Formats: sequence, C-alpha cells, structure tokens
Amino acid sequence: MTIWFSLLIPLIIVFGLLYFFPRRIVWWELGIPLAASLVIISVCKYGTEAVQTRDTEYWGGWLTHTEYYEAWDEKVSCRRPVYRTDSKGNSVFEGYQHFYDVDYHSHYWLASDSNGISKNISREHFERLAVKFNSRVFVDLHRSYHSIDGDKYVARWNGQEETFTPFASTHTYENRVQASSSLFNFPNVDSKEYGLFEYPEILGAYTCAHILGQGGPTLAAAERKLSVLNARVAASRQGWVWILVFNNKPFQAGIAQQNYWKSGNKNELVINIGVDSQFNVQWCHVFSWTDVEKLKIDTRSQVIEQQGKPLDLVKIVDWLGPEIKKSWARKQFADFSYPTVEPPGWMVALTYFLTLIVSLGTSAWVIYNDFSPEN
Amino acid sequence: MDRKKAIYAGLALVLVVLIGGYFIMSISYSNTEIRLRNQIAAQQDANAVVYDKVWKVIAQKAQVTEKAKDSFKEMYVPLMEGRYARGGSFMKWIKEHNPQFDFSLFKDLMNSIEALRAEFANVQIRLRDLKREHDNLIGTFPGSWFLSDRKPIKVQLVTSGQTQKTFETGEENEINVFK
Repeated sequence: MTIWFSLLIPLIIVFGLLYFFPRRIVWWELGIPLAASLVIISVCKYGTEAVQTRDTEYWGGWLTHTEYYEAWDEKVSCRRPVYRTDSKGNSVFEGYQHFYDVDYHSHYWLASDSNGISKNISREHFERLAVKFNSRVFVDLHRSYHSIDGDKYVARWNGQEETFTPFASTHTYENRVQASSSLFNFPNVDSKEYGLFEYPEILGAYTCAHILGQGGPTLAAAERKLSVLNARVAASRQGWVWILVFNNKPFQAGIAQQNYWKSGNKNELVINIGVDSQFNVQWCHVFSWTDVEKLKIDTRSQVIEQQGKPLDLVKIVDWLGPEIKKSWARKQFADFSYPTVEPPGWMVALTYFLTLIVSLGTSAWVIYNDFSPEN
Repeated sequence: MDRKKAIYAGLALVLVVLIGGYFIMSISYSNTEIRLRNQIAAQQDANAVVYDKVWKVIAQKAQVTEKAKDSFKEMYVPLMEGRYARGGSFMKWIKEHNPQFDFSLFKDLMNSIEALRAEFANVQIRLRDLKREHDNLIGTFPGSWFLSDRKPIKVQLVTSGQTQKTFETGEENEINVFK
C-alpha cells in the first residue's frame, strides 16, 4: 500500500508549478502530471503483483486431430494518396487511388487436443500422425483466393487404444500463496542439496515426462500408463499426477521437494518415492493442495506396501486410476484470495523514482508548451 | 493566473486529492477488515463442524472395525474348535483353508485417522492465517491509521493438554509412542 503514497510526488510538483510558473500553465494541465503518475504507479503495482502471483500448471488431454493448412493468397483492398505539384512547387493532395494488395498466407500444421487446445507442429510430425491414425481427409475451405487456392487436410484419431496420444499443455493461474507471507507458503530451498526435480518441459508440442527420475524396470510401461491416466482420468477431474523417484536420497528429499515446488500446483498430486541402488522402495512422501487428505494417505500406504521390495510403478499407477476417478478434487485457489501480496522493496523504490521522473517530465512539458492563460 | 490565485488553486487541488484519497482508502480498508472479520468468524464455525466430523467418522469407523473383529472371533473360534475336534486326518487340508482376518479395515481406520487429523490441522492453520492477515491489516501502516479503532480478533485453536504443557514448559519429555 505504501506504493500509493508516491502520488504525493506529483501533488507537490503541481503545487510547485502553480507557485513558480503561474503564468505558464492553464488549469487542465495540472491533471497531466497526476494522471501520468497514476498510470505509472498502477502499472508498477498491478504488473508486479501479476508477475509475483503467476504460476503454471499442466493440463492433460489427448490428441483428437491434426490439420495441414495449405498456403493460399488473397486480394486485400488498399488505397494510396495521390499528390500533384502546383506551380509554386508545393505538394497538393488530390485524392486516393484505389489498388489491391495480395496477402500471402503460409502453410502450417496444427495438432489439437480434447480440451480444444491447438499447437503448431512440423510437417514431418503431421505426416507421422496421419500414418499413425491411418486418416487423411481433404476439406475444401472455399476460400476467396487470388491465385493460390489453399485448403486443408485433417487426420483424426481413429479411437483405437494403441494410437491414443496424450497431449500435455501448460496454463497460467493466480497463486497468491507463493508470493505472500501466508502460513501456507513454503520456505525457499536449494534444489542442489538433494538433487531436487524441476518441472519438465513439454517437448514436440505436447509430450512431457510424467515420472521423473530413474524408476527401474517398470518405468517405461508405467510412464505410458500414467500419461494415459493424466490424459483421461485426471483431465476429466482437473488433476495431474507426478511420480518423482529419488535414488539413494533420504526421506528429507521428499520434504525438500515439497518446499521447492511449494506443494505443487493447484491440480497436482505429487508422489515422491525413495529407492536404493537396486530400486527397492525405501520411503514415500505424497503432497498436494487437495483437501482430500485420505487420497494422499492411501497413496502413501499403497507405495509403502512395496517397502523393501523392488519398485513396481505399474502397480502403483494401476491402483491410482480408479482412486483418482473416485475421490480426487483439486484445491480451489479462490480459498487463497485473502493473502496480501506486497511488491518487493526495490520495486517500491523504483516506482517512487519513476513517478518523480514522469512528474518532472510532464511538468517541463506543461511549462514549455504553447498553452498559457494568455494564449 | 496571478500567483495568489495560483497558490489557492494549488492548495485546493492538493486538498481535493488528499481528502478524496483519504475517503476512498478509509472505505477500502474498512471493507477489507470487515470481510476478513466475517471470514474468520465463518472459519471458526467451520472448524467446529470439521472437528465434529473428525470424531464422528473415527468413532464410527472404529465401531465397525471392532464389530468386524468380534464377528470374526465369533465365527473363527467355534470353527477351529469344531475342526480340531474331528482329529488329525484333515489337519493339512484345514491349515490351507483357514479363514483369514481382513486387516484392511484397520488400515483404513488408521489412514482415516491420519487424513481427518490432517484435514483438521489444515482448517486450523487457515484460521490462524486469516488472523495473521487481519493482524497485519490493522497493525501495519497505513492500515493502522485508518483502522485504529479495530481490535485484534481472538481465535480458538484446538490443541491437547500435552501440547499446551510442552509449549508452556518448553520441554518435550513424553516421547514414548507406546506409553
């Protein structure tokens, strides 16, 4: 809130203008330093808050169809001014001459998912998917073209289980807890201490790893199953499951991971599993913002049943499917709308400085422009 | 504009902005404080409801588990007595088909206790967090100026006598979980 007190700066400057330059200003000019400062302060305050509270979550879905839009062109009207030179050598406007331009639209390829999200993909990617789905349908777009008639080809998922393609995407949301001094916030930790995991990148437009770390012999099969789970079950119930496997790390690594990820995103269930060098289960720590505490405890119990035995990720994912479907509910972050988010001290100082500069700049314009009570 | 008029105009402008700003901020701070106060009161009531649920669910699940144990005992003891009374010729067969007690009820009860306790802890933390927000609002400038007549809100947190004693003495002596 102290950021708003920077509005006193233009007020003092306006008073100074009236005192020192009463004959150079007209009444409406007094609002200019005030209005410009108000804009600067608002941008600094709300812009900083938006950055501080911005967080990114993953959404699951599946690839429904992919499209190839051919290149095409179209005529677009345009007009150009026409001038003539008079006897004195001056340029005189005569009117507009009407022409048309040709706008060229390049070809592109899109992949779309069950949430209605589309992403650009490469030509090779489209071709691979068309072969995989065994589908390629020509669609005439009936464009009003100039010389190149571009239409599109669509390849739709054929509904077969073996060609089901999970589609991951990221979305931003407001997370006030991470930027506040709320009791629900977590301390900052050094990710290097336990070799903590970062959120994975989405590769090839929509593919990302769902199990992070070395999971042993069942990893590949479980990764496919978990990606399908996140696409189908978790997506329909607004959820996302991560499994993080820590090799030869103590239980504290799981707690540190929770601190590092600030308990994850609002739609996530994060299962941390510690294994030894033979992939025998040592410990499990589950965290999530969900209010369904029993799901977290039951999940941990399910993993702990494998304690001392080789990690069977497939068994865990198979168990998770029906449980998520039955009881998962993501946390409503509207519950956390109350914590105040204050801009950092350096931002407050910068705002005061910018307000001063803008106030002085606009005041100089007010003094030296042509508007005055006499003119 | 002569200087005297300009000074008056400047003073008037400053006053208008300051009084307007004060008025708007007063309303804003007051509304925020009242919303927080109401939220704290609602959360305090909600905590009582959650606490009630915790005990009812645990008690009733425990009753079901106890009943299941008794039922199993009632069924198991006569069955075993009857089988052993017949003599040893069917011993191997009987061993392989002994009825097993299903411990999943105990596991479920244990998980429910932990989950419900965690849920109750969460709502208590939320209540305390709302109080923190309210304390900050009325205690830090400029809120302390606009809301000087508002008092901190008392919240009721539920802990155990053991916890209170530990925090009063600063000593945790009873660490034997099986005592």
